[in-house]
Order: sequence, then C-alpha cells, then structure tokens
Amino acid sequence: MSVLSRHQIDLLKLPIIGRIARMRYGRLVFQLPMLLIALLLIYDGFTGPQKAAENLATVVPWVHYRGIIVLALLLVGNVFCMGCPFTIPRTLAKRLSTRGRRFPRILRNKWLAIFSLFAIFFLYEYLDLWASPALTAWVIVAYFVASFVLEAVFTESAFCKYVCPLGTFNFAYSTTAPTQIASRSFDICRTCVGKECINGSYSPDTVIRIDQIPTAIGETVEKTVTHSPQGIPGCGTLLFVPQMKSNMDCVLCMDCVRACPHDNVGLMLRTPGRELNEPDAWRKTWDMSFLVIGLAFLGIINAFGMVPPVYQVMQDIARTLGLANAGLPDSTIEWIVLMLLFLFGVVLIPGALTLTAAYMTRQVTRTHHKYRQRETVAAFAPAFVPLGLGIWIAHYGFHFLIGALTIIPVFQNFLIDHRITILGTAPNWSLGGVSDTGFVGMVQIVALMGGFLWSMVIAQRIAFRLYKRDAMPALLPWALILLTMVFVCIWIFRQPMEMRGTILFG
Amino acid sequence: MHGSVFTRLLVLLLLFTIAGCRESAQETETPDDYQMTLDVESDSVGETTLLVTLLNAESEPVNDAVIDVKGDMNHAGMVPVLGSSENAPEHGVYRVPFNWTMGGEWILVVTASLPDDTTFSEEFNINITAEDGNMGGMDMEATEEAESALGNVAALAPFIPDCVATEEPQDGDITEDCSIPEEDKGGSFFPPGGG
Repeated sequence: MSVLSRHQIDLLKLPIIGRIARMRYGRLVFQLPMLLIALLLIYDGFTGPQKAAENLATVVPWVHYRGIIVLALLLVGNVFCMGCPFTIPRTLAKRLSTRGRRFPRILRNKWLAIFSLFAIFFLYEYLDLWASPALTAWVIVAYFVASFVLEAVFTESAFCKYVCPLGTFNFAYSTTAPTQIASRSFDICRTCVGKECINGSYSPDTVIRIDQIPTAIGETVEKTVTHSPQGIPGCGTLLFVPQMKSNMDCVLCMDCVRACPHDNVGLMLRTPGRELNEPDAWRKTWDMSFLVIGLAFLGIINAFGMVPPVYQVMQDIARTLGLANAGLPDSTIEWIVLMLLFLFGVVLIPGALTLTAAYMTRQVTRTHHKYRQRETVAAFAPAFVPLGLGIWIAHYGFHFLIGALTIIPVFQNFLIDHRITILGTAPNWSLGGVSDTGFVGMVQIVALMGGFLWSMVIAQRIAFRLYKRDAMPALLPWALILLTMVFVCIWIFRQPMEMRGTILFG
Repeated sequence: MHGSVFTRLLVLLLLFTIAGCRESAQETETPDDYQMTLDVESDSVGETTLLVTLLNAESEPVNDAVIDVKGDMNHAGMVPVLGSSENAPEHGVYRVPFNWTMGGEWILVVTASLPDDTTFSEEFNINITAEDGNMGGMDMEATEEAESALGNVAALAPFIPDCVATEEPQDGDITEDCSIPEEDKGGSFFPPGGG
C-alpha cells in the first residue's frame, strides 16, 4: 500500500482547486479551454498561412505546449492529461460502444505506446511537422479520431494507457512530480465494499447499497452508497487507489475522487520523484524499462536532429550505403537514413548499452544467479528518468524561452486575418522571447546537470540497496552511460541550430 | 431533428465562408507585367545584403519601388527579420541590408510597393549554413577561455561586488581596475563572445 496519505498535504482540500477537481464535471473546467484551443489550432492549421512562424497550429504545440508541459510535469504533475481534450468525446463513444471488450491481452503493455512514441518523433523529423501547420493540424485530428475509436471499442481507456504518445511521455516524467493520487485512510479502503475508485459508481439502473463500515472502536456504521446512471466511471486506466505507488498511467482525471463514496481519495503532495527510489513502484518488465531508457535517448536524437552535424551524418550514411547512387528519390533516401538513425539511436544503442551494463553489474557483483538480466535493467531504469527529463527541458525549454512571446503577433495576425483589430492593426513581429543566449545556455546547463546529478543519486541508491558493499563497481557501468549521455547532450546543445526541411543526397 | 441538422450545416457553411474570407487567403503574387528575382551576398549566418531585382514586362528595370523583406525561419518560435531597401536602386537592383540570425531554411517574403499603389509579393526559400550561430547560447568556448585564463576576472564580473585586480601583477605591483567593460556586465554567467 502507498504510504503517502497519513500526514501529507491534500491539494484537493484547497478551497478553489479542490472544489473544482471534485465537481462532477470539474474536469471539463480544464478540458473545455483545451478543446477550444485544439479546435482553433485545427482551424488555423488548415486555413491559415502555411508558414510555421505565422500559424497558431505550429507555434502553440511546438513552442509553447512542449515547453510548458515538461516544466509542469516536474513542478506539478500530469496536468495536460488532466485537461486532455481528446477524451471529451468519450462519453459519446461509450454510448456507441457495443459489448465493450477489453484491450487485447497481448497489447496490454507499453510496447504499443513505445512504438507510437517512436512513430510520432520519426514522422516529426521525416514529414517536418514542425514546419507544417496543415500536417500538425492533421496530427491533432488523428488524436481525436484514435481516442474516440478506442474508447468506443474497448471498456478501459485503452488510448490513454496503451497508445497515446503524449500521454506515455507524460506518464514517464510524471514520476518526478511532487503530487500523487492516494488514499486518505487505508482503514476506509480496507473496509470499502464496492471499491468504486476502480469499479465506478455508474449503473444503468439505480442501485442503493448499505455498507456496514467497522470503526476503530469495534462498532459499525452504516454508509449508503448509490449507483446510478449519473454515477462516475471508475479509473479508466484501471488503477486501484490504495495500491497506487506511482504516477505511471495516472491521467489525473479525478474519476476516483468523484466516484469514492467515502471521500477518501486525495491528491497528495509528496517528495518529488519519490517513486524513483521505490523499487516496488516499477514493474520489472522489459517494456517499462525500455520506455524510460528509450525516452531519454529519444531526447538526444530529437535534439541532434536540429544541429548541422546531423545533415552530414545523414549524407555520409546515404553515401556509405550507396543510396545516393541507387537512383532513389531524396525523400526515400531520407526515410531510410532517418529510420536507421532512429533505430540505432533509440533502440539498438540504448539496448546494447543497458544490456551490457546489466551484464557487467551482475558479473562484478557475482549476482548473476540472484538477479536476472531483466531485473537488473528494471532496477536501474528509474535512474534514467531525471536525466531524460533534463534533456527534454533543455531542448524544449530553449524553444520556449526564445519564442515565448511569438504567440502574440501570431494571434494578432490571426485576428487581423479575420478583420478583428482589437489587438492592433498590425502584428508586432518584434516580439520573441529571451534574447540573452547566455541565459538560455545557462538554463540548459542547469537542466542537464540537475537531471544528471539526480539520476546519479538514484542510481547510487539503487546500487547500495541491491549490492551493499559491491555498490560502487555495480554502479560504474550505469554511471558511465549517464555521463556519456550528458556529455553528448552538452556537445549537441553547443552546436548552432540549423533546421532544414530539405536534404539533398545527390 | 431536421432543424438541428440544418443548424449544423449552416454553422459549417459559415465556418467555410469565414475561412475563405481570411485575408491571408487572398493571393498577392507578382503580376504578369513584373518579374522579381532575389540574390544574396552571403548564405552564412550573419549580416548580409539581399539583392532584389525588379523588372517590368519588357525586362526594363523598375527603379521607383519600395522593397520590404520579411524573413521567417521554417520553424515556429523565431523572431522574423525585417529589412527594407535603403538607397536608390541601380538598374532595378535594390540592396536590402539583412541579417541571417540562425542557420537553416529561411522563407523570405519580398514585397514591392509601387507609386501607383500596386503591391505584390514573392516568396523565396533560402538555405543558410550555421557557421557562427549559437543554438542555446551555451558559449562554451568563452567558458573555456574564462576558466583557463588566470587573470580573466572579468568573466566573473557579475559575482564580484568590488574592485579587483584585473591584470597580472608585475614586479610585485598589483593594478586595480574597477572599470569593468560594459559588455562583460549583465546577468550572463558566460561572458559574451563569438561562436
């Protein structure tokens, strides 16, 4: 059981935020503005100027959303999933749903989500989503469609838990957040009959149940619990609150809060990244390990894709493989070369490094009989979370800092385009962001080094917990990987930025 | 039910109409009786001059236009660079001072305004190589200089409240210089410098 609740601060007891979060339609308070923004982006993406710098569909997601979300995950939690507009049609989807089957067992893991992350970042580079308002709008439309279809077909929130790349990214890094859903009292959960937090309080017909709740002094009290068509669905990602030890898979929808008949679920403050030091909070499976390790390496590849050396590397790969002389169109060559870069950078290299590190750790500590390869990788996987988040903050934070105010002239331009001049008759294109590159560089260094140091602390604790006196030799291979990653990142972020949509291989 | 469907169709029609009426949807391409070309003096990061040539249908130079240039990068979040022709053109060639602030693909919109209020624009895509630019401002070369140079106390200027020795002591003398250069002041931990 989670040990959060006893003396922790419950944010849901705050006067305004808590009240809104506990309201039946409280989530809509966050979702509706996001829905309006999403619709605006789709509209401008399809009908507005097709220059990325002048269209809301490219400015908002690729500059502001990315920059804000990584900070929000670290400082607050998974607030975007809380306000996710893509699940608003789920009520209609549920009405259209037939028998409501479960998601196929073979897919009930993170591999599909990892694939979708890989795919969205690959397409981001290959199709130059960052440069195309229309394509970005199509991505947003695709999110709505995919969420709707999966909600209609399956009983659980399969899109959120098993597919959505945005949500998967948020899940992974919400593990560093200072908040977590938890029970206020385990005694109440222990005696709860209906477990409405996961089962929900929805029923097609009204059912009234009278529970006999034992008290501490040996008596019982009666608690009337009503299930009805106005009830709240249980946790869509099938998390059972009293057993929650992690933010993984929690979308902060607050359905558990609203469904609990005993008002026993809260959003508790906790030590940031607490679960990174709790071995029981992580599933010791390959998919979970590869998710957090692969995401960190994906951050490196994503940043590498924006600096000049990547174009030379791509052309060298094409030349080495003879693709340039094979008569293939540049777009096909780019697809092949990018895929190779992604496969090596996100799959093969991290896989090889971590498997080698796990093997070396087991050998030097003579624990190859005690801990399997999978368990060793899984044990050290949480250590990659802080550095991964640091890499993403350094990258996305850069774009956000230098372009935070660009949304103003873009929005002015949007209004003027529709003959609305309340914000002026001409966009103020001089608005940008932080112009002091030294400051931006310092922010990046702080993010990278902060993430690296935090990762090292976690890795060291893991090593001491598992290997006692052999902790230092056990730690060494993992420390080398983390150190190499941060050095590579510092080198990448030193490079001047150069984003090209067209690469010629001839 | 029918009223509801009709209302939805009406809203859709209205949306399409609004979208079609967007000013950005109104093309202002170069009329057939003019031709505009663009050359650049340098395709590397830094200051440069754009050479905009404007000719009429008879391929004769047009020397009475005002040329404005707006340069955006192909990705969002960058401040556009604006430029205008300053001096009188020669043989229809307008010189526009410009600054490639970053490497990558640029989209230049060149607008010509004629005395008869005719205005038209052309879009040009240009690839700029990043030689001297900074991506995230991590001026590590300057940092290395600061770390290696024993007397380079100016690098730590933001953190030094009082006058300090800024020159290597010679023959036992210590020279104090409280006039820290302006460019070394400010909130940046890393001293400003090139590439």
